[in-house]
Amino acid sequence: MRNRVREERVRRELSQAQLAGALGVSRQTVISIESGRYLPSLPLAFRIARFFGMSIDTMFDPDEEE
Amino acid sequence: MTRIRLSGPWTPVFAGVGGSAISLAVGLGQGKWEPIVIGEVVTAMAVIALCFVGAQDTDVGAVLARRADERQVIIRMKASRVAAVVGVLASVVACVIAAARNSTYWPFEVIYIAMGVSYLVSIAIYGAAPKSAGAVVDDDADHVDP
Repeated sequence: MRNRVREERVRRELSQAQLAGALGVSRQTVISIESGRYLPSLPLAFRIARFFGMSIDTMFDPDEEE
Repeated sequence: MTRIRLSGPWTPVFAGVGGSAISLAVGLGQGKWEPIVIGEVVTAMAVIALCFVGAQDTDVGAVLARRADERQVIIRMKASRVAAVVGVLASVVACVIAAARNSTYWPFEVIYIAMGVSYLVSIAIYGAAPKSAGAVVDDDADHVDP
């Protein structure tokens, strides 16, 4: 599953630590999500999508492989 | 269901209490003070090491300090599973060796039975938990909503 977390974070000039703090997760988890090694839970996926002001299916694309 | 929820740096506390208890038991059993001193020093070093690792900004640190997020909770569960399997195997091996040497083997048997029973009870408890659908939900995970 491909996601746009890294792309949106970089566009907003946020560090991984800043995004992690805003989402209430660790920096390591943000790194894992961005690299596609970890698929977030539904509540966390919603928090990520809301944080970036996007819909969840725009943020996470199940049809595209990482 | 009553739920025991532990928060804070309990891992070093458990390690310290357990290490001290074993040191005292060995020393009192042998009637010597040297094993107690050596055991307490080793325990203190282990507690300091656990506190140090727990303060690190790593997955291990987050799990040890019980400030794990949802991904680290999954890591913790996998690690707990491995530790439990190793514990069961070790108890069986220890029980077999102790029985073969005609020495006391019931403590290992108790550990083996306790782990087996707790496994079955856990399945029943968590299977009936209201938050069982979908992704792993753990109340220990500290989330801060943006």
